[in-house]
Amino acid sequence: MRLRARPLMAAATALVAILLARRAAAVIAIDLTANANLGFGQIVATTTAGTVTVPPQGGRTSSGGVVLGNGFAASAAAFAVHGQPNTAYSITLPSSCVLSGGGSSMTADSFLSNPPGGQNLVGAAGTASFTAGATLHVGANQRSAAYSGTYAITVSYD
Amino acid sequence: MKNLAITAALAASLGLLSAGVANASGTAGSYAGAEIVSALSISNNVGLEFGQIVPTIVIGTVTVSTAGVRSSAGGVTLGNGMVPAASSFAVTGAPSNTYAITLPTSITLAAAAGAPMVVDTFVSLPAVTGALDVTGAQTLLVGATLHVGVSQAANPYSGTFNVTVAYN
Repeated sequence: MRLRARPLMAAATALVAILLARRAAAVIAIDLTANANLGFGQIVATTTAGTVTVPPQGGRTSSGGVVLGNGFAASAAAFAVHGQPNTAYSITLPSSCVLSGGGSSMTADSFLSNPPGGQNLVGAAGTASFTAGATLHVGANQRSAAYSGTYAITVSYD
Repeated sequence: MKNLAITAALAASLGLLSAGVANASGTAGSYAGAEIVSALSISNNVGLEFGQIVPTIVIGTVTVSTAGVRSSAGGVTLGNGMVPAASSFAVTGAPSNTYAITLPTSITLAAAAGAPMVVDTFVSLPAVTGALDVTGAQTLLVGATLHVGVSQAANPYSGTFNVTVAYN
């Protein structure tokens, strides 16, 4: 019995050592900074509802009864990640976000990131970046106003 | 004794693990914005006026520029009983937006009696693409060329034309 117990204890000690080593490798906190806002630009509402999509790669498309204005450019959101070099991380996007203005509101959803959410890598320099976009739902005769809202994106070590 | 030591080591590692988890994610709030703007509209404030024209036995043309300045070519003589004018439109829409202008190719002016006259070579100021100011407004001026026939019947002639604007 005593002879068999010793290897087990040794294995447990080794496991603790491995766990300590793994955690020691990830003690630099991962940090996310927003560098550019998500902008859907100017939109002309009509009597028919529609959507405006800003993909994470930038640009803008519409569907349904909306017309795209061009007074200022649409833009994808941009984020900077700082963390442990050469460490995998994942991006968690919001499911939706409400934009309010002039007593009315619109919903943005279908958030996407580039690169996509999972299995990304903090670079050797301890930094990484990604962009994000979403789809805005514009109602029929959506009230003319400047709309804004906030959303949260989370990054975490895999 | 050894079991106790291992338990202590495990407890220490769990402490480190929980500290590691606390540092393992970061969240950033970001701003999303959009501006809903009014649709583009155009309304006519001043009609296109070629003024009084005296026909002759030779065909000719009368051109009104976007500045409202009139000139003639060929066998027409300009009368001066009426003031010629470029057509003026008020365009309103989204501030600072550009828009495309579409002019007619040609129209006809008809009278109670006599052959109709053709108006073509429409020009606008701004041309092709307009730009709304920061208040979302711009004045669009339109001129054209009227073709007057040989011994064109004396009459008031009139017609209508459409100018289309669209966000581009």
